[in-house]
Parts: sequence; structure tokens; C-alpha cells
Amino acid sequence: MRTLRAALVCFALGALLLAGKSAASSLLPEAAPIVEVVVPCGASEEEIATRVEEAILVEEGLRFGWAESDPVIRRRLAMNMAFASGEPASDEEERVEAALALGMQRTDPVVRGRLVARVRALLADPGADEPDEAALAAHLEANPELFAVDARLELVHVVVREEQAGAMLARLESGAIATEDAPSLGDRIPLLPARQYASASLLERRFGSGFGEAAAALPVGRWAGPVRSSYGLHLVFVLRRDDGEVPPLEAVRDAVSRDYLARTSTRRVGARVAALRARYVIRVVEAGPS
Amino acid sequence: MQRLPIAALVALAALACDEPPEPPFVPEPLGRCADFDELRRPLFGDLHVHSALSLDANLEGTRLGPSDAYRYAQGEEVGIQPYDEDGNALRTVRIGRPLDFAAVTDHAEFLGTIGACTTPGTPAYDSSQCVSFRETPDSAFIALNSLLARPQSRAAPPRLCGMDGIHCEGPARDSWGQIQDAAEAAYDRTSACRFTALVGYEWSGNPGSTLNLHRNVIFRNHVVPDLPITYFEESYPEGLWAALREQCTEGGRGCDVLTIPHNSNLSGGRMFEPIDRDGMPFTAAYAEERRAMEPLVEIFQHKGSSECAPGESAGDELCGFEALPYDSLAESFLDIRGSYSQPRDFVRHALGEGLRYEAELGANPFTFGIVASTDTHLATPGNVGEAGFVGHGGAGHSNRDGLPAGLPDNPAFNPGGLAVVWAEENSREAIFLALRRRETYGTSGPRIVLRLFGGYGYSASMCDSGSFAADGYEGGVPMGGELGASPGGPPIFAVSALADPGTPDAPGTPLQRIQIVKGWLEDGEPRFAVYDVTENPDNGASVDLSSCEPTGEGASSLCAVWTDPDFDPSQRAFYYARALENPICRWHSRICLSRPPEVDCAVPESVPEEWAGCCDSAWAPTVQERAWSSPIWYRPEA
Repeated sequence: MRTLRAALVCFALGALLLAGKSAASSLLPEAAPIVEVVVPCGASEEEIATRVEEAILVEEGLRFGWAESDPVIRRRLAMNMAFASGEPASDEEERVEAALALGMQRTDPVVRGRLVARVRALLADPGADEPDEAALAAHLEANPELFAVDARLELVHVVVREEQAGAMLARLESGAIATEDAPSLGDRIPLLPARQYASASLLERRFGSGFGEAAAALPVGRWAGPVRSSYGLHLVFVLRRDDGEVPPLEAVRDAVSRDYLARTSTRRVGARVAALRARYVIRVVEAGPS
Repeated sequence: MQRLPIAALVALAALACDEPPEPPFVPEPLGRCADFDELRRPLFGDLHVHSALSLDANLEGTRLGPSDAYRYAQGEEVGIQPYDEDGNALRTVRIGRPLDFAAVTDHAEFLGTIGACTTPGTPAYDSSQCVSFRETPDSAFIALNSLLARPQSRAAPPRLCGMDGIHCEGPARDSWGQIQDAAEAAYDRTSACRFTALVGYEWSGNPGSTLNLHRNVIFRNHVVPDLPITYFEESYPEGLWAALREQCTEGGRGCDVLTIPHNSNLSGGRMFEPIDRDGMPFTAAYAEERRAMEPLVEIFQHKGSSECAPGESAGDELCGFEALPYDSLAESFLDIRGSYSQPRDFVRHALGEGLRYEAELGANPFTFGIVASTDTHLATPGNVGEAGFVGHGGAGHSNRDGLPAGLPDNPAFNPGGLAVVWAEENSREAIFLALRRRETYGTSGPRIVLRLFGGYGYSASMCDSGSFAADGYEGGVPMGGELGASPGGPPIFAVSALADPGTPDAPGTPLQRIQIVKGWLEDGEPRFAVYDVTENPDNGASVDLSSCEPTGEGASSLCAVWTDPDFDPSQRAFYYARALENPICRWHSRICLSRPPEVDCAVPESVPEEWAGCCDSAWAPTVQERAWSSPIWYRPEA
């Protein structure tokens, strides 16, 4: 295609026809619409592709009737006609009709941009392309870090003064005090609940730097410490430790689906534009000096 | 071209014939987060953030977009202005602790202007205003922003946007889409719930002499209007609320929204003026509408505190905190110092007036909960530390053209604050519901934890019960709530604060005291009083200004159960808590320590402009950072 185009004389108009590939062409309706795309002489393959895509999206937008129904486009067309005709006070409906009759819906850059944006948004609509179970499972397996739940600790802590810590720990270790009653032996910090179920990072943010890491290293099922926080010293009883894990798909299906759709949006639009392109015959016209 | 199966082409053909119906909205259920806590936990965020999509930020050299702002909020290092010729940022910043949530709230009015003026080929690109935008940004900054100061009856988009703004509509849609996409991409929808991004924008009218009426518009979820409603379409707050109802809340699509006014301290008396758009006194309908649409107010940010006027109300000496000597945006931008703002510009005064309206109209238009935020124009949400402050741009100083030689910002301004919500989990739904019920508070930067409950049956030993929150909810209402008629005795308030734990690089500051600020209506007039409710209001803590080292002791936790000694059951009232840290060096004092030795404040000619703030006695060398709770209202008839 490139060779063919290069042979054209660029000071005149040159044209070449691009149709869909043979397989897609076989699906084209009898009279596939022809779209003429004007490109500057010497335009690169990439520039031509961009302009062809824009032209197709404009045609698709026009097929929806958006030139007649979209309020932004109507205002733009009416404004253009008011300017062209010098009759700003005339009826908007008449001005829109006159602009359409002149083909402004295909030539005005604002109208074209609006049509392209609306068609793109429509093509990006994930609803028509819901991933199946296998696709979701594969996406979860390929991106476990996105959906993993952090390891968590459940603990009870007692706020103690330095001089009390040793004796208090011995008392608690003796089993004389039920775990849930232990916090009442120490100082109360009303906004730092005695029972916590949180990840190490959340414990760090609540208690201050170093506490979460230290708590995560404590044994399960017995009193330990003291551990220092921004609020003092704590004796800590780790009740259980839940390992971090990637939840099963059932538990994170919505999140996996959303992420899948977000990541495949660009590919989806590209594939749909390509499919649309196969429904048209494209005439590329090179115009003007390079 | 790609070969597609026949079924796919058939599907696309169908797509091209009928626009698919919008899927029904399904509210996000609470309970999906692993850290769900029915007694709620504090989430720290920033609801006032500008990126390069804001005209002022863009012209001042900010290049970070909404996605970058969310990256910063979650702990990534970002490069900020100035940039070298190759586009490399000459400064980098990283937040000390990630935020839990944020909303990028770019100015709506010029969302399309930026794209129209920076995209070759647009109809506006070659207009004189766009040429100025690209070539003389300082002139464009003034010329374009002055449109926001036009009288409300003549509000209109810039000329470059064409008739009815048509040239800018497409780029505005692109920017609005970018804002939504960035929020969606940053929002953690997994059960880890690490970060929440809310969709929002700023409505930026400041009519008259740049009298600030700005509102941040925050949406509940991803369902939002087609385009932001701007000052150019709706130049009065009433118009904004009506348009939001029409385009959002009444659409049945699951859209919900609230607005948050800010910088009443720069509104020249207009933010809480006692008249509606027609110059008429408030009606009950107006009061109900404002109460419903505007449940919160931003009490503190980069451009100062809006709590209370210095010298006003019961001799509250703490009202001088970060008070600006300006009364409008223009005065602040140009550093034209006049008198301090009038009392009507402040939140406490509005809360008092609200009591009066409730008595007269049966409805209170100023039922404000409290938040704070930064108003950063560098896309750095939550960058609130006094240490290492790099400026926030906007009405402050830009560092577009070079590294700051001295102070990086106008010394009148500060690093801004944080919005805190008490929510069951870190999700959009939980956060929005907390904002709606006003279970929120603001801080001037530190991550102080502050909780306030009001009720009639609290035990005096509640601070030691080990079940402070459960007792609080069971026996009364949390901050933002309303107490009905007393069953016999005065209301009891349980209040507690926890010092910011800090980080190894920036240790937290101990607490000094908690106060309860009361406002009540007596003989039809609002009155105010401030009570110290925890011991040691003057603990002797101080700062060594030669090193900025703090001295003295403070508390890591404070708690009190307090009963109003002056309670009159016939008087409607509000109560909010204020928790204060020990004093520390203000941001400019820290930077001033490193000024060149030849800069001697005693010798004015030795002080260049960039260091002048170090020698200006208008700026207090120390600050007492703080947190303000939302009020609890006492309504005798309820």
C-alpha cells in the first residue's frame, strides 16, 4: 500500500481504495459504504490510520442520528449557520436543518470531535463484553497482588508503665487473669481499643512506627512484651494470626471483573474499531504539496 | 484489520443500531472491606486538591494530573515544579504516610480552556487568549481568573470558548472524563480497601472584588453529571444546588452529591450573608435546601483558618491561629494587607446564626459539620507537614520559573489540613455516608484522633470503661448529631483525643488540652463560650526558636466526661470540641533557620525579598496544631 501511494503525484489529487481483508469483506453488505478520507501528501501510515479511524467513527456517529439529536452538535450547527447566514435570530431548527443540508456535520471539527468521542465511549462500554469465568480466573491468577488480603493479627494489649511491666507480665502469664479482663489492669486509652484485628501496616498507623512489625513477630497464644508504641508500653496477647492470601474468585469477583474490564478497555475499543472498519470501503485521498 | 467471528460483527451491528440502556445502579454495600468495624474508625483524607487540570495551577507550572495526585496520596514519590528544559522536575516529594482517601477537585470553570488552548487544531487554539495562555501565562492567569470575579449577572466563559462556550465543551468533557477515570483507577475495590478516590470538582465563583464563594462538589460514587456545573452556568450557590438536584440526585441513577464551602475567611462577608440570591431574607425552604445540600464546611486549609475571628467571641485567644490579614482572594494573592476578616466570615459565627434561623424559621441553613483540607495546587494531597513544606501554589507562590531561593510560599499561608471521617470501612459509600451525617472533623495537619459523643446518660467513668465508642453510640449521638429535649438534666459530653503517633522522620507532637466550644441563643442573640475540659491547659510547653526543638511535656491521650455548667434547657445550642497540641515551630520559622548569615532582620537592607517573611512580625513563629470536631446540636423542641 505504501509503494502504491508513493507513486502518486502529490500536487494533484491521488486516491487509493482500501477495503477490509478478504475474510471480513465476505461479510460486507452488498453495497458497503464508501468513506473518503483526505490526508496530507506524504502522510505517514500512522497518520493515515488515525484519520481513517476518525472518519469511520464519524460515520458511525452519524448512523446513530446524533447529528440531529445531540444537543452539543445541534448548538454548534445552529451557531455555524447563524454566522454563515448572518441571521442569528432565525429558528434554531431551521438553522440545524440548513447546516445538515450543507454537510457541516462531516466538516466541522467540533461536530466531528463530539461524534468520535461519543462513539468511542459507546465502544468502550464494558457491558457488551463481560468476561467469562475462565477469563476472570486467569486475570486473578496473573495479578494476585492486586487482590490479596494482608496478613492480620487479632490481639489484646494492656498499657503498662515501665516500672510495672515485669510484674504485670508475670501475673498475666500465670493465667490468673482472663485475657479479656487484662486491659482493665493497665492504663486506659479510650481511642486505642484494647482488642484489635488489623494488618501490621494498620497497627503501625494506629500505634506508631515499629509496633505493627513487633506485634507481627510475637508468638500466638501467650502474653509477650512489652512492646513500645507512640503511646507507651504494651503487653500483648496475640489471639490469632491470619495469613495473607489471595481470596478465591467468588470472594473478589466484582473487583476482578472491574479491573479486567478497565485493563481491556483499550484493547476492546481497538478491536471494535477494527471490526467497524471492515464494514466500510475506505478511499484515501492525498491532497496538497508535501 | 482484525478478523472477527460473525457473531462479533452481528453484535457490533446491533451496537450501531441501538444505544444500550444504562445499566441499573446498584449501591455499593458496606461490609466488603477486611477492616470493617461497626464502631467505625478514623480515615484521614484530603477533599480539596488541584492538579494541572485547574487553570491557575496549570499556568503556575503544575504538570501533575489527577492520576499523579492519587499516586502521591498513596505514597509514591512525585516530581513537582520547577522543571528544567527537558521536562525533568527539580524537586521531588513523598508523603510521610499515605492518605486513606482523597478527591481531586479541579476548578470546573476552565476545564475546557486548558485543552482548547494546548491542543493544536482546536477552533480556539489560535485565539489571542490562547496565545496569551501559552506565551504569557502570568497575564493569562489574571485575565482569565478575573472572569470568576465578574458580577453574577454577567458570568460568562472566556471569549476563546466561543458562543456559549462551544469550543471548550469537548475539551471539558475530556478533562472531566480524565478526572473520573483517575478516580476509578485509584479506587481500591478489593477487600483490602487501601485507598478511596472520590470524584469531585470545585465550583469557583468569587464575584465582586474576588469575594470567595467557592464550593467543592463531592460525589458519592462514579455516577456523576455529564459535565460539571460551573459558575458560568450557575453563578449563585442556589443555582448550583438546583442544577445538582436536576442533573444528579433527582435522576434516579444513583447519583448523590454534597457541596463544601471553603475560605469563608476570604469572602468579604458573603459566604454566610443573611440574604438569598434575590437579596431577600432566608426562607424556611432556603434553609432546608442549604442544610440538605451543604452539610459540611471546610474550616481550615492552605489559605488560613475560618474557625473564628481574632478578638471575637468570649475572648478566645486561640482564634488568632493562622488568621489571614486579608478579606478577599485578590488581597491574599497580591499580599495587600488590610484588616482581618469580619466576624460574619467565620464558621463559629455562622453556627451561631444558624441557631437564630432555626428559632425564626424552624430550619437551620448552617448545620455544618467540619472538615479541613489542603487546597494544594501542586497535586500533592495531604502534604501538610510544617517540616519540609514546599508550598501549595494557587493563591500562594508559584515556583514555576525556578527553585525557591528563600521561602517557597507566601508566609501568610500554611501547609493546610486534613479531612477525617469516622467510617466503618475505607469505601466510597462508607465515607460519603459519614460526610452526609457529619461524623467528621478537621485537623490543621496532624493525624490527631478526636472523638466526641453527646447524650444524657453517660457515666462519669466512661473514659475508663474500655468501651468508649460503644458506650458513646449506645447512650447518645456522635459528632455531627443532634440531641433532643433534655429528659431532666443537662447533656453530657464525652470527648477524647489521641496524639498523632507520627513517623520516625516526623514524630508526633503531644497534646496540650481539649476544649469544648459552646454557642447558644440567648434573647435571640448568638453567644459563645470556650471551656477547657481536660487538665493542664497551660502545661508550659514551648519551643526553642534557635533550633525549633520543642520543650516541655504533653499528653499522648486525653479524655473527659463534661457537663455544661451553664446549661439552660430552653436555649438551643451547639457544642464542638477543639483538641490542641503543644506548640511547634511554624513552617517558615524552620526554613528561616537556614537563611544566609548575612540576612539580618535588624538591618532591613540586608533582607532580600525571598527572605522577607523571616523578618515579618505578622507571622507567628510557632503554631499550636489542632483538631476541630463537628458540632453536636441541642434542639429543645426535638
